[in-house]
Parts: sequence; structure tokens; C-alpha cells
Amino acid sequence: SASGAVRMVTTTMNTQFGSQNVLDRCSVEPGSEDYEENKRAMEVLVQRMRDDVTRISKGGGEDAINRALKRGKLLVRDRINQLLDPGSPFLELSTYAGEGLYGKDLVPCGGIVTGLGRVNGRLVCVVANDPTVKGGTYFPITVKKHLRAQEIAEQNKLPSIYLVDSGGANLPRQKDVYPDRDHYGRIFYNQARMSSMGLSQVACVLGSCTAGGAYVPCMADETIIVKGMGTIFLGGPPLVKAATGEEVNAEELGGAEVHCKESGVADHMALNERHALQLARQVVSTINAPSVSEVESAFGDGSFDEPLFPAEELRGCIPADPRKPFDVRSIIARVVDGSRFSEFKKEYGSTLVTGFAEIHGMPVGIVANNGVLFGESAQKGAHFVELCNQRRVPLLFLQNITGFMVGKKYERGGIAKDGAKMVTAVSCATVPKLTVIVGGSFGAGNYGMCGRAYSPRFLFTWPNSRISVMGGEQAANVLATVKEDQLKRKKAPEWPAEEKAKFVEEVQSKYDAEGEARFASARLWDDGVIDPADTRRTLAMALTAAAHEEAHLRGPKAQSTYGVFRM
Amino acid sequence: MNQIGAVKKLLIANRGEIACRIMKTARRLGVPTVAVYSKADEYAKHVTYADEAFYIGAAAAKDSYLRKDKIIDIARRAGATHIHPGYGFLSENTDFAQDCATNGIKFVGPPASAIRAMGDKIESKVIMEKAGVPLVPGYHGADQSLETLVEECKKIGFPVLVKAALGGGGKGMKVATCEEECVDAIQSAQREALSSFSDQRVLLEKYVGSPRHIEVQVLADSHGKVLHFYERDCSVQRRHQKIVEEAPAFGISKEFQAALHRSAIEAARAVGYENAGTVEFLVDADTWEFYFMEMNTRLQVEHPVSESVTNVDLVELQLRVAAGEELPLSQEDVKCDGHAVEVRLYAENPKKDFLPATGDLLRLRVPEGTREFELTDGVRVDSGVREGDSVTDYYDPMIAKMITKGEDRADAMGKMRRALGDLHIADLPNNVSFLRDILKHDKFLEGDFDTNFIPKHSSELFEEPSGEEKGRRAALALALRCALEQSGSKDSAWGRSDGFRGAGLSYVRQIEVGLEDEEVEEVEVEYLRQGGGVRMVDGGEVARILSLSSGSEFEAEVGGEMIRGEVVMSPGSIHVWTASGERFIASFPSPDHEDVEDGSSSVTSPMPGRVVQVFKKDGDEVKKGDPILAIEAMKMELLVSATTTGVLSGLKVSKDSKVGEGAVLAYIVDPAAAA
Repeated sequence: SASGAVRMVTTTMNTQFGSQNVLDRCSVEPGSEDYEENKRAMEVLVQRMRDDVTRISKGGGEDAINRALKRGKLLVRDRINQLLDPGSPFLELSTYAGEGLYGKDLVPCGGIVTGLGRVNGRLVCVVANDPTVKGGTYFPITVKKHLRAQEIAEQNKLPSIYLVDSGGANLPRQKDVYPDRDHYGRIFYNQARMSSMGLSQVACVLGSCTAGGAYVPCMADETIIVKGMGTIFLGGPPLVKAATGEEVNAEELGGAEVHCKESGVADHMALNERHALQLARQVVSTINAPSVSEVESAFGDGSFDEPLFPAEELRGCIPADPRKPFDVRSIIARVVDGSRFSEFKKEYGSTLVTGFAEIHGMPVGIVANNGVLFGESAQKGAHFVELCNQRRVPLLFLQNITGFMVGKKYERGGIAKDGAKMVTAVSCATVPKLTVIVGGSFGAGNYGMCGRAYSPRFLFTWPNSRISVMGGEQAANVLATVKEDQLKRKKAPEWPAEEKAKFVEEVQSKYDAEGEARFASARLWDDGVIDPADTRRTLAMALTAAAHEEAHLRGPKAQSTYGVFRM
Repeated sequence: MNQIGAVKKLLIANRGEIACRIMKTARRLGVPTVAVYSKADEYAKHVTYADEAFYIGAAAAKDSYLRKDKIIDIARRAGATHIHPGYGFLSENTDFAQDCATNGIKFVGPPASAIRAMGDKIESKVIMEKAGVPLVPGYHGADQSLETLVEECKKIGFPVLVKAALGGGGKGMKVATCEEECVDAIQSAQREALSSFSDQRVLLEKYVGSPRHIEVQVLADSHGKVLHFYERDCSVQRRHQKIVEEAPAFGISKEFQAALHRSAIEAARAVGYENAGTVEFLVDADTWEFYFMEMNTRLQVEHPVSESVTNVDLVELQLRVAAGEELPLSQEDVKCDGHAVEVRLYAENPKKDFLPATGDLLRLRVPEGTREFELTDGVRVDSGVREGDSVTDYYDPMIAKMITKGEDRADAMGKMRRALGDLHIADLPNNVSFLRDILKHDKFLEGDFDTNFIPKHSSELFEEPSGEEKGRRAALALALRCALEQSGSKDSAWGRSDGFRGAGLSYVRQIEVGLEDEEVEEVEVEYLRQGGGVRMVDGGEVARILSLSSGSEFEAEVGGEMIRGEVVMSPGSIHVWTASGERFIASFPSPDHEDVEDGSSSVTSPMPGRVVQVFKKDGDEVKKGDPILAIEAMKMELLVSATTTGVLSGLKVSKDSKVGEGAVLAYIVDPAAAA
């Protein structure tokens, strides 16, 4: 029904948890000196991110944009807006992709916009080339981002929609995009496999699809092409002329009329882009997949309590000085429903906080760092992960970890095997895992806390986050010590203190730069940098997406081991 | 209540509100009712209102409600002793009245002779002249040659009114303001007369410059008693059709009133009248002279205003008279109590020259507590349709009538304004706002009006809202639309329609919107995550929808002002009614992908109807503005002209083709392209 656009948030207590489980402010007090300082520092970073994202979202620059507009094209984000249900959210992934990766070659957003959105009430994975960025050609990061989006679609069992407008592989970089396992060919491999799983593959050809690019629409279950705009061919007119001497224009060679009326390569002919996107919406409406609201209905009546404290306070939780300790429960209190947190093993291994909560009514088991990991904390983490896995409760890791405790006592205590327990538990957990790096992510702590290598369904970072094998300062000192030892072995003259200091500073600043959230995200070590204030919303969207897997498994499944191939 | 013994069963040879209204009285009197219905009316309200219902034929009136034979046959089969014809259709058809009599069924109306006498505009004038009833200078001679008619026009002096001799309700009525227009007016009137009444005779009349239309309700029984039930002023008209009627007439003297009543009774007596009728007078508001125009030998659309002030049930009296009873009251018993006004709610576009409209009644909500066909707290609604019904082009596009009664005129008008504010009609274009504007107009309230009221004050009546007001409305409409199209759970992360884009990016959406009949414009709307509202990007208002119930009631905040109201969404538009009585429609056209540019321009039908004449054929060269064909619908003839210059091609219709609204009738192509 078209009712109740705005709902009053009820503050009735959920009976599932007693009031003793409600978290308080956890000493984060708006107005206090600490809070205001933390918030100021974070807001500088948030603003910087907004500026970056605004710049990146402009794609390939004014000239390219004007050229596209002149040709009557919609810009990539406008295409996505037209495709999605009006006003509905879009969870864009890895906007920083490609940032600073190729020197003078700017590839904003990796030349491809990916994300999750709602089409006719169904959650879909959108992969949209940005033709204003290098003609939509695939740089290595473009391939990586495309594959990551497909991975998300496959893990969460979502239909994929490809808005294709790409010149194919970036030829000068063919060695880095063409031959390897996780290169261009993997895109089609994924399409075929997802299709065979019953995950619809829909392509909307809005521009050129040349050579390898031609396979995206050809491998799709259902393809739409725009008359006078979209073309699909294995070899474009220049190649044809070179190869056979045949002179032919693009429209005759692989235009909409050709493919809809003669070749059967495309299934629907659109009169313009808007029409094509409308047709894509229509196609999605025929996919027999659960709607978002059906998926949500598995979690009750859809009502839930907001946290007791405003989301904006998340910007003031993390100390501006990363060395200062803080209570991670202050973040949990501002992320989970009603700030209710049912803590597990609270008194044991207290540098790791574990417990159950709900986000938008969806249960979640939280594993959050509250200091360095000791043997007990690692064991506790392994225990809790097992619990969640047994109970089919998705896991949320809040990472702020310098690593496992080092030193004689701890090695002797077998911290390595305790860490391994946690890593094993996390690796083998089959429930959806979500990770948010809210602070540092160093060393093996990253592994135990479900870093990228542990295939969390989604991994988001806060703008202040740092990721590297160890902290810059430690790394610099370790390297300096190694070098000093070398010098000693060679009986070389003593390393002048000045030079050593310079060396340490250089290593540290390199680590610092390479550990930055932007740097990490540009390389797709995560799925995006988020404003801390958006954490709850983002996690709710991610959890709902993850819940599509269960819904898919409950629903009708494809009976064929083959995907749909076109006739 | 006295039962009417003689009326054993009543067939109502009509549809819509009048059929329901008659059934309502019949039911109260214990008389079983029989409805007849056409194909288009299978699910109509009047069918469900009756005790029995019979199918009579296809949708077109000539195949159903005008089929005398079938109706009489059904009356006999159903055992109806009486037939009430309502208004329109067969109500003034002499043959039908005669056939009823021949078949032993009592026609609830005057004898055939009276219908014939009054139905023939020429004959009736002769009779009235004899009876000493004042007549408008004019010509109603038998010589119908164009030359004579033109000569007579000149004799009368322009402007001259040309009317179909058998016409009524504005059909076949044309005004010639000067000699040049004379031939056109006569021929057009003849054409309409021929097509509507199968008789192309016309009569000519002096056109009174500042005319008021005042009519007297009379009722005569078979015992020689003729009573009047006061007069009605029906001066406010559009396209020669009444839309506001009131009783008694405002601002006339007792003597003048008495003279009118006297003349009306004389007129009725002169033709041996029986049953209910209305004598219409043209009153020259400058000279206070009145002239007999015509007598309508039936119950009229606007009869409820007379019922409201005289506190009688005219249909009951009609049935009693038809049953042979004597009228149960004397002239002294008929008192005029208070003041009543009626408005006719039409599916039409007031701003587009009142073009009739058809479509589905997505919403028909009358003021709360109002009962049908009877006054409740001074408000009465007579409606033949229900929410969900359709208004088709087969019949009159009237949706309903609303009547209010007050202690005096100001009271009645105030009640009507309020009632109109509480009336919700969607998704049909309608005249509710327009009527409200009339009822707010100073001149109307002062009583300074005549039949030219609407054209004379069109600039005020069609006054545009201010730019600021439009901006406010647009913001509200956009916010409502965005809230209404939200799907999924409203609270969930994916269900919210807040345009979430992350990283502080805003979601700006282009929406094509048109307010009322204005040009559609593309505006940019930014979705606001905080508070879930929208902001118009070009310095416009912020509008938030605070609540929206399933009953479509909303609470909104626009530019800091709280607005409560109701909203209905239909494909392509939303209708908004605010608690303060404001109403507007915002249209949101969906992109038309079918509109392929091939260098041709289409000629489309502005309204549903029937093609009466085709002036051009395929291959003809046409200039912009050239008439291509004429369409007749809902008592109007409309010329469809070329929208551009070129060659006509692909003409899809011929004479008598039925066309839908917006139907493509032909193309005008570039001669170069056609060659």
C-alpha cells in the first residue's frame, strides 16, 4: 500500500533483550572537549572524502561529458538513476577505484560504476561503464571492479544488470587485463556460471560493445539495445576494412536493427536510452526472484528501534589520536537497534568485544576490537564466531586492531595457535560476514578480524582507517634495526643518527601514505570508504543484500547446469 | 405516507442520477421500480438501485435509451403500469408518449399533444402569442429558405439567435453577431438540427444583450389544477448550458415575480398541460421585460432547487398526477422557504473551453455526512455514478449535482462553497474549482449577472495562481509524488525513498511536471535524507511529507507551513485537495517512446465523438488552420483543423466514424517527403 511514508520510530523495548543490555553513551559526550576534537578531525576527513567523491563522480571531465551529452547520451549516474526505482537508495561500491593508479592517465571511479540498487522492488547488482572515462575501456582496475561486483552478485545471489558502453580492453594495457585468471575473460565466465545458478544476467547496450565487450550482451540472458546508439560487433568497421576490405558503417555492421531483426544477438530494440532503461526495468519485473520486501519480511514485521544516540555522534567516537584508547561499545551503541547489545563472555578476553544485536531487525553477531588481541581474546573470538555460524547469525567485524600481542610470554602461551583458531573460525564460517574498518587494521589482526582475504560479503572503511602489515612507526624501526644489523655484520662505519632519522621518517611516511583509506580503496582492498554516520544504514543495506542468499536458496532454483545461451 | 394505488410498478426509461432519484421516491412510496440499461451501463448505479433491470441494447443511445419499442416491450413484460422518462432521451418524444398510451401504459408526463405543441418551437410561439404570453421578436415562419432566413435576421437586427426548431439544451443553437456570420450560423444550426432531431428547420430570435434566464416550475393535474412552484434563475451558463441554478431568483420585485408565475400558469393552461413542466423566460436585465422562450415538458435537471425551497417532492407529485390523483395542495400551500442553489458537476475542462472529458472516477467523495437525493444539514448530492465508475462519451458527462439550501442567498452560497471544498473528484478533469470561483465572485454574489457572466468575467474566473503559489503547489505535488511512488517497506534501508547515495552525494532527479493545464516543465528535485523531503533545485521550496495514510490523507510541511489534505494518484497525475479547500492537479507525463519523428504531424481528436463531416481527403494540400473534419460529441460540434502545412495522408476516418480522445485521425506530411 502507498501508506506511511514517514513512520514514527517507536521506543518500545524489544522483549528479546532485557533493559540491562542497553548500552549507554559509553563516555562519548557531545560537547565534551574530547568529543568535539574527535569530531572536528573526522569531519575534515569526511569533507575531504565528499570533495573527492564529487570530483570523481564527474567522470572523464568536462569535454568528455559535453561530447556525451551532445550525442544525446545520459551520464552514467543518470542512467543508473533512470534504471532504479525513483528515489530509491543506491549503494555505490568503491568510488575511489583507480585513484592515482596510472600516473597521468586518470581513471575516475575505475571507469565503471558498480553498486546495488532497487529495480521494481528487487535488489540488483548494477555494473555500468562510464564512456566518458577513456571511452569506457577496461583498465586493470576496471576489470577488478567489474569482477568484484560480479562476486558480490554471486555471493549474495542477486541478478546483474550491465549498462554497457565500452570500447573493450584498454589495448596499451592488454597484458594486465587480458590473459590472467582474474582478467577480462573472467567476466564472461562469471556471467555463464551465474546464469546457470538462476541469477539473471541482463545487458543494456547503450553504446559500443566491441570485441571482448561484445560478449557482455551476448552472454546475457536478455539484452536490450538502443537504436542508433548501441552497437555490438566482434570487429569494428576499421578492423573489418583492414581484414577483408569490406566498407561498412557501425550501424549496418552491428546496430540495433541488425541484432534485433537479423542476428538475434539482442532481444529488445529501444528507441532511446530512457526507453532502454525502461525496458530493462520491465525485464527485471519478469525475473522470478524475491523482492527486497519479501527478503525483509523474513525478519518480522519490519519495525525496529533506532539507536538511542544520533548517527552523527559516530563521527566523534574515534579519538583523533589513534594511540588513545576508547571503548568500541560507543560505536556499537550508535549502530544497533535500540542500542541493545547482548554481550558474550564480557569478562573474558576483554580486548575483544563479542555479542548479539540487531540492525534494522536483522540479527547480527558483532566481533569488535577493544585493544590488542591476546590469546584469550582470540579464543573468545573463535568461540563466538562458531556460535554465530551454528545459529546462522551473520557476523559483523568492527576492526580497529594493531595486531596480536607479541613478546616471550605470549609466544610461549601459544598466541600463534590461538590466533590460528580465530583465523580458522573466521575462514570457515559460512554465514554472511561484514567488515568495517573503523581504525587501524594491522598485521595478522586483519586476518583474524575478517580482512579482505577472508571474503567478507562487504568490507567498508572509515575515512580515518589505516591498513598495512604493521604501523608505519614500527615498520620504520624494524627496518632501521635490520639495516643497522646489516651494517654491523659488514663492519661498516656506524650509521649516522641523522641519516637513520631520515630513513625512519621516509619509511614511516611511505607506510602512512600507503595505509590511508583512499590508497586502499583505490586498489579495491575494500568496497568503499563511508561516512561513519552512514555506518548503520550501509550495514543494513549490506545485511539485506546478504539475506538474499537464503531467500534464493529457499526459492525456485535453476534446473539446468547451463546458463541461458542466446539463439 | 399515502400509497399510490394506481402505480403498480414504475419503469424508468432513463439512466444516471435522474433514474436513481426517481427510484428513490418510488421506493419511499412503495412502488416497485424497473430499470433499463445499455451495454455501457451493465454495472451502472441505476441498475443496482432498481428492483428489476432489463438490458435494452448497445451503448449508443439510439440503440438503447432511445428505443421506444424495446422499452415499451419491457414495460409490458415486467408489468409496469407507468413509465417515467426522466429528462433527455425520450422525455419529450411525442411518439413515445403516444405509444405508451396506445399500449395502456401511463406516461409520467404531459399528454402527447402538449409535448407536440411545446416541442415545436414555432407552433408553441403561435399558441403563446394567442394566450397573451410575451414573446421575443423573431421569425418562426415555414419558409426556411436561406434567403428568407437571412432577410429575417436583418429585419430582427443583429445579434440574432438561430435555433433548431425542435432543439433544446443548447443543441443546434448559434449566434450571428453580424450579417457576415449569418449564413454560417444558419447552416451550422441546420446541420446540427438535422443530425440531432432529423428536422433541419430553424427559428430566429432577437438576441437579448443582457439576458437572464429565469424559469418557472409548474405542475398541473388532470383535474384542471395548475400550480407554480416558484422560479429558478439559471443565468450562469457556459456553452448555452446551465451550470448554476438557484431559487428563488435574486433581486426581482414581488410584482415581477408574480407576473412571471402568472404567465407560466397561462402558458401551461394554453396547451392543456398536465404533470411537471418548466416555462422558461428570457429576462432583459436592462429593461426588466420578460419573454417566453420555451416550455420544457418534463422534469428538469435543476428541479432539486425548487424542491429545496418549496419542501415538496416533485417526483412524488408527478407520480400522483400520473396516477390520476388531484394535486394534494393549493397554491397557498406552496411557500418559498429560504434560498437554494444547485451546481452541475461536469467532467470537463473549464480552461479548455469546457471540453467534455471521459474516464474513470478514481475518486468521488462527497462532503461527509451528505445523503443522496435529500437535504442533510442543507446539502444534497444527486449522483448517478459511484467511485470507480466511468464517465463515457456515450452519454452526458455530468458527474453529479450538488444542492445547498440556506436561510438566505448568502447562506446558501456559503454552504455551497464549503461543500465544493469538501468534494473530491478524480481522475477526471472537472469544473469543481471553476464553480467555486463563480460562487466566490463579487458580481455573482451581488446579483449582477446574466447569461454572459462567464465570458464577461473570464479573466477573473480563470485567474492564475501567483508564481509563489505555483511554486508551493509544485513542491507539494513533487513531494507527494515521491512519497506515493515509494514501494517496499518504508522503514527499511532499501525501502526508504530518500535517494541515499552515500559519501554525501545528493540524489537529484529530473521530473516533468505540469500544474493544472499548464505546460509541462522539467524540474530538478533533490531528495533530502534528513526528514525525507524534497527540495526544488532552482531555489524552490522544501516540502516534506510528514504522514501519508492509506486513506490518502496527508500531512505536509511546505516552506515551513503545515498543510493537511487528501491526495489521489492516477496514472500520469496526482490530485490534491487541502483542508483549506484548495485543489489542484499536477500531471507527470510518462516519456512517450512511441513518438518517433518521421517528419509527419498527426491530426488528433480533441475529444471522443463521432465524425459528422470530412472536408479533406488524402493527398489534399492543407494549410495550418484549415478545417479537416468535424466531430460531434456531447452536444457540441467541433472542427479539427490542420496543425501544420503539408499534405494530408493516412486519413483513418470517414463520416460517422467513432473516434476516441486523442485518437490519431490523419497525418500531415511534408510534401517533399511525400513525393
